Amino acid sequence: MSHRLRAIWPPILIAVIFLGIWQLFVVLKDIKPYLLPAPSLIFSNFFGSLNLMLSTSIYTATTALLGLFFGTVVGLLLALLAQRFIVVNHLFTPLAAGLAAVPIVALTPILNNMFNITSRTPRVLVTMIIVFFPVFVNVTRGLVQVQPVQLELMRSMNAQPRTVLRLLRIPNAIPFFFTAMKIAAPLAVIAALVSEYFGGPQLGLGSRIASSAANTAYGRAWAYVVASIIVGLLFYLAVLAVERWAAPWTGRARSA
Amino acid sequence: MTAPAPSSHPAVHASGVWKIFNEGLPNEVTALQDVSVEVGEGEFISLIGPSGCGKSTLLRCIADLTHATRGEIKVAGLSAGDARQQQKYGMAFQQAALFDWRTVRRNVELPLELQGWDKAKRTARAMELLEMVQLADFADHRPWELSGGMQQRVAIARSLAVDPPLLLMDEPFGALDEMTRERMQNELLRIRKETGKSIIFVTHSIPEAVYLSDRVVVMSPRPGRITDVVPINLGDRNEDTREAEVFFAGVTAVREALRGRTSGGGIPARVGEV
Amino acid sequence: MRQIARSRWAALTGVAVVGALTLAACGSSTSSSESTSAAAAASSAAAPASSAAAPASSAAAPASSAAAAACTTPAPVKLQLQWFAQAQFAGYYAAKDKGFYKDQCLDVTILEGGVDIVPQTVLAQGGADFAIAWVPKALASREQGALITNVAQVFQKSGTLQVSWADSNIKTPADFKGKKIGNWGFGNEFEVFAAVTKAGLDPAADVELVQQQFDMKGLLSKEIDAAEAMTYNEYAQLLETKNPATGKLYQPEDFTAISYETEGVGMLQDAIWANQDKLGSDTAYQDLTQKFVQASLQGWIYCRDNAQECADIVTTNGSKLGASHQLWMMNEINKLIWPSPLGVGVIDPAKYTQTVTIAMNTKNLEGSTVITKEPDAEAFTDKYAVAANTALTAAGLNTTGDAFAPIAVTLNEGGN
Repeated sequence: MSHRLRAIWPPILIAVIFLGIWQLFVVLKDIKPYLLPAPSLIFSNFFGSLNLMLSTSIYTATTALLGLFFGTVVGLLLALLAQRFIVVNHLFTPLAAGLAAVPIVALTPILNNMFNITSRTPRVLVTMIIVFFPVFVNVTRGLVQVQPVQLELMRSMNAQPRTVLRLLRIPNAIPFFFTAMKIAAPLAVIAALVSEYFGGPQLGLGSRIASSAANTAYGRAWAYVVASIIVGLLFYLAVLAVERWAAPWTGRARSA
Repeated sequence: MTAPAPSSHPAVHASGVWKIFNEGLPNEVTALQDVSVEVGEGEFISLIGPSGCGKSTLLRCIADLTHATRGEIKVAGLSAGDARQQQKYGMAFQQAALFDWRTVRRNVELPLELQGWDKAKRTARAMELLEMVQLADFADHRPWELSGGMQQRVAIARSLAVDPPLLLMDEPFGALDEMTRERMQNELLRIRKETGKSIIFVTHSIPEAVYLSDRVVVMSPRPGRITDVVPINLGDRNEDTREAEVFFAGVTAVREALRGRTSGGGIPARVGEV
Repeated sequence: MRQIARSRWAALTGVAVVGALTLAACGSSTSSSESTSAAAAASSAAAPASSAAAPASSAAAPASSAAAAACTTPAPVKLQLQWFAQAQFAGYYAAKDKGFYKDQCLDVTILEGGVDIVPQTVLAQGGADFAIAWVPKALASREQGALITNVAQVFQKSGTLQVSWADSNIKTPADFKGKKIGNWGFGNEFEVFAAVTKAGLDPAADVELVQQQFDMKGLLSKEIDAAEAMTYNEYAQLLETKNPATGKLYQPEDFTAISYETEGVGMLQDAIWANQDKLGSDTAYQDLTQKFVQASLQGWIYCRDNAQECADIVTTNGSKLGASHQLWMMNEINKLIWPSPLGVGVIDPAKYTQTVTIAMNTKNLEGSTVITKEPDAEAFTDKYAVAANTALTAAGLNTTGDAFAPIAVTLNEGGN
């Protein structure tokens, strides 16, 4: 039994116990589905419409991925500027914080009105805005917070600022980047999903959850929720995998 | 690497160096007051003194990591700034400051990369240096896989990469345990013997200063200044050196100097020393 | 060491499972009765008075009859609406404002709805005594275990339209093919799907379905080709918007409005729903229901004959809609209710069957239908509505509205 498998079984056991208690509770107390569906109902809905689960998941995941990509690119570019020009840092950090505080439920209708509601654009924009903040803040920090001794070392080797950026700051920022992505990737899924509540094409998980709930079909609604949990998990695990490949030194005790 | 041919100027010449922080402000601090010192070619000198005596500041002025408020500094006959730009010295700090994202070999290659060396030459030189510090087997390891002492050896190898005539070292063994420290001291002396470089070594430790140096420059704080220079004459160091009479005499002399009493006897001070 | 850790895990698991089972077993399976015990006490005092308390005429102010003097403590009643206060619910506001509820010894609190409020769930969980809900959605909730009964079918016709620009030539559902058809999602899409399926199209393949926001911007900006709209609300929003080309308001001729009622795929909408369990066993609640239905229907009769006044009553009760929009809504709602050949609030069995058939057979994008099986007999009852009609007719009111004629309403910009 490998080390990794040994680490996984406790959470799985807890999940199974939790579902078991939930199922017993619903059955023994005769809770009606319109209040709380039983796990058995949710799973039968999920496995009964696997194709649908897959197609809706892909739709929402695509929106999330687009938003994640473009939000990350913007965050990275601005982080580079913020490191280079301290005034950009001082200007943008509170701005970004303010923007991040605007809830998705407020942003989406505004963007839906500004852009064509029948396209993906408003939702991708919402996702971009949500993703931008953690990326910008963390990568800026990673670029700025290099050890002073490392900067002295570079200077002693007559390195120019651009070289310091390339050889020191950017590699230093990589673990910070992955910290940001671990936050941003699941957030992107949530943003893509929630923004679907407010109109537009109805092909994604969010609109299906809302529609099923409105039809009091909570078993189906929760089945879509299970699908969205899976999508969020996949995004997160993908980030972990890329991190392991690209930055194997993260999390190690830092060398002296 | 053999000792460099003698040249017409000393390795380092500092005269009348002042460093004042926050000049004119209420929190003005005089880190260095009228410091003058000269390091001959191939000489090993230590800077020792309590906190605030300016030893690290002086080192940084020489390295052009900070600018002296007043005074003149020449490294290998060049201004400190030119010397830095022409890579006339290598530097090692208390932290090894290796880059975690590079292998040991690529860390040693760093100064060469900055000088534009091509890959094959870089790799060859890096391996040569790692051989010198006896870490060739670890070339493809990552810094965190090495012990503190080993990381410092890599840092020293790195500082030698461009083969500078001068090494500036700011308490490089400060974070190591005593046994490792003594081993590293022997390593450093061996490297110096092989390469004949001049070394300025900042330390807190009296035995270390005495063991390594030709001369120990004693400094004191508020304001930072040189108070004494103690010459050391241990000859070739071996296992018994640390227990020899002459070693203890040197340690005592430095200790007395630190306490403010002048060093008893010894070779008179050279030109330019306080 | 490892053995001990593992057995501790097992013990913890065992305790958790046993604990859960114990908890579940100890709890009783039936829910206890809610807050109607106080109502029961109050209404039993007023019971002898209730049947004689019908008011004299609809036009005159309700006379405080001698029987009402017996009402000492009015029974508190909560009514959960389906949306915010607007003329769609004028009958209830009028019944409150004109004292019809008071005459029945009822103290009615009207709870406004909203985006996240599901009225039939509020009713089923005891948060309200009655709720207004559309029949298909309520039937879906029933199938998921919400025990509610339709006690008065107020709206006889469906008010759902699909509105498009006249020059798009979308005149029938068959013309939806290849177009962007807006709908509100949230369960409001079944009439659209029924019409599309009836026209021989496949909703998933032949039509591009887009969820609208609750306004007409999508249609006005031509992002969608046809928008879902209620005759009484969103359609008016279009006619309250200025046409930038002419500088005047848009006219009905600028649009084509397809009515799902006319297309034969209308489903029953606003009805009064009551708690099924209590209707079965709680005599006090039965009595309450009768009174409530009667007074509410009386309110609707009043609004049929006094549209402007009712529009004003709703505005006074907190509706944020403009005056002309409110009157338009009142008028359109009246058109959905009147005439009621079987009597106001009495459910038309044929229409009910049509609603159930569509609900069982029309598949949406997920391939799901509104309900999967025939609702049981307790889904609706006309007992209360019929009795109310008898009482109101006896009091001299017209309950079928056979002479009803809609008024002409002029909309102003923004509905003001």
